[in-house]
Amino acid sequence: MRYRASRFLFLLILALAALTGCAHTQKPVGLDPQFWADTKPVIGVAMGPLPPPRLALTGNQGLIDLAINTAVNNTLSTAVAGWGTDDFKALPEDLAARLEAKGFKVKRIPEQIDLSKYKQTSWREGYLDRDLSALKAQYGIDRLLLVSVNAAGAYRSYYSVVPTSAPTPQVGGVGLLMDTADNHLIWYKPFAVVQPAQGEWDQPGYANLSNAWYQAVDGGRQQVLAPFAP
Amino acid sequence: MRARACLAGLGLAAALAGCAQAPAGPAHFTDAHAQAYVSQHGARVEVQLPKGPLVSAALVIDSATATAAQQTTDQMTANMSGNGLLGLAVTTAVSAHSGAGALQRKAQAAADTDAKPLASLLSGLPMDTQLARRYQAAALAAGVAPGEGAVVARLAITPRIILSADRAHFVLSSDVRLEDIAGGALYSARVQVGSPSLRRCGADCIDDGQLEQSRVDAALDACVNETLRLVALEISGASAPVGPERTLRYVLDGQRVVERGRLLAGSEGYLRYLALDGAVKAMPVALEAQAMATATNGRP
Repeated sequence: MRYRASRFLFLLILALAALTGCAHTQKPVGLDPQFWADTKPVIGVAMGPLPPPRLALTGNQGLIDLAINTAVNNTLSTAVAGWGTDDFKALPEDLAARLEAKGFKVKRIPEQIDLSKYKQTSWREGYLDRDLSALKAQYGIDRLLLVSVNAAGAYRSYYSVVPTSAPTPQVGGVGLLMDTADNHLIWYKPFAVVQPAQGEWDQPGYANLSNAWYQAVDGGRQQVLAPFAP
Repeated sequence: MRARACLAGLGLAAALAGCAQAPAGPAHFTDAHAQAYVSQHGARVEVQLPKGPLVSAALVIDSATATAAQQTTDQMTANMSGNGLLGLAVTTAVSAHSGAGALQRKAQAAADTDAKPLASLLSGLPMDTQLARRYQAAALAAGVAPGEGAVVARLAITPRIILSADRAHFVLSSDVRLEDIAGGALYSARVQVGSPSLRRCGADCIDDGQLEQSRVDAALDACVNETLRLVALEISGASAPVGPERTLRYVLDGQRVVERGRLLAGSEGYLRYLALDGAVKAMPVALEAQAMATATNGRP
């Protein structure tokens, strides 16, 4: 009996180890002040594909609840889908201007760099888990400064058909600077901005909510731009 | 019984889900004949205090607080998972009193408290007559001809004073409506003008938060004057939006402000723009990029 309990415990620990050990999370990497001293490497500046803003209905909902909530939020979903992302599109240009002002050679990468389309590599702390080394030869760059947005729009949480939060704009992603020779991360900054509407969120046209979206985008922009401040 | 409970739940959900939208400010429009009518007949300025409080404060809900509150709500709903109608009822009740549901109410309570010093400073004055005199003088100065005959345009103004998020300045929000003698609307807008700082010693020192009557008066005068300058420009049709909608960024009294809008022509010391909610705004600042360029050019 005691043996069986020990075996069960061992299997449980093994299962837990297997389940928790798979998820690696790259910690943020701060930009070393030494980075500014060496202006020789050519830096490519690029943007990942921008996901269209959408309203995410989260929380405990069954299929019927979700159908009701989706219908109730139809107008709001349409409004969220119409929010602009141009401020993010201008980010590579702003980053390039700041780097050029510091004496770096900068190349604007015209294509969108979709990380999911690059070969996954084994995870190592301080290295990107995608192999982007092909960009070195393709664009003649030594380093890549990339902004990748992976969440855009707003969320609203529900319990069944009862909303438990006001719709709240959110934006999330990561800014990174890497060495294209070995995928080593020189700077890595995940960002997530949640910006509630100031005032009533349900005005006609959702003016306050839309404004909060642009404030969230600006918050994300600021987090990416801050280390490269002039 | 179960069907009735479901129906009640759905009704509650519909009420909470935002089917009924909050009332909007006045529509923004200018009739093509507004300028001609005012030039011909003049306008009589009438000021009416709002039904609610004259002084309030902007709600402040920061990103970190919102995230924390949402986590509380998520945790609570996760715990209630699988409890059916009981879970629904408990979640509704608890959500209204804690977590994300309480954010707005807490922010409102804080805003009400913050508005009290300015409200009590102004409460000792006959604000209806004082504001009427200010608006009338500003209308004259802005070139709005005063109406004296039997046929005259009516310029009805309902002001509100809203303390900003930093509580160091306020926004004078004026609902403006110009009517002809028959009551037909010739111009309508909500005009919001940012005041200079109310701080007694600028941004470089810590003051005790006390308000000075003279500073508040001067700030109010500046806002009323700019409001009427904007109204006169709008009525004349010379204040059309220039360029597309964009994100406007500026620093107001040390606080970074981000707002979406369309720039308006004819700024004189003010950044003028049309906000998403249709309000015409004027802030005594320069746009972030312009301010940076000025600072850079000004360096020795």
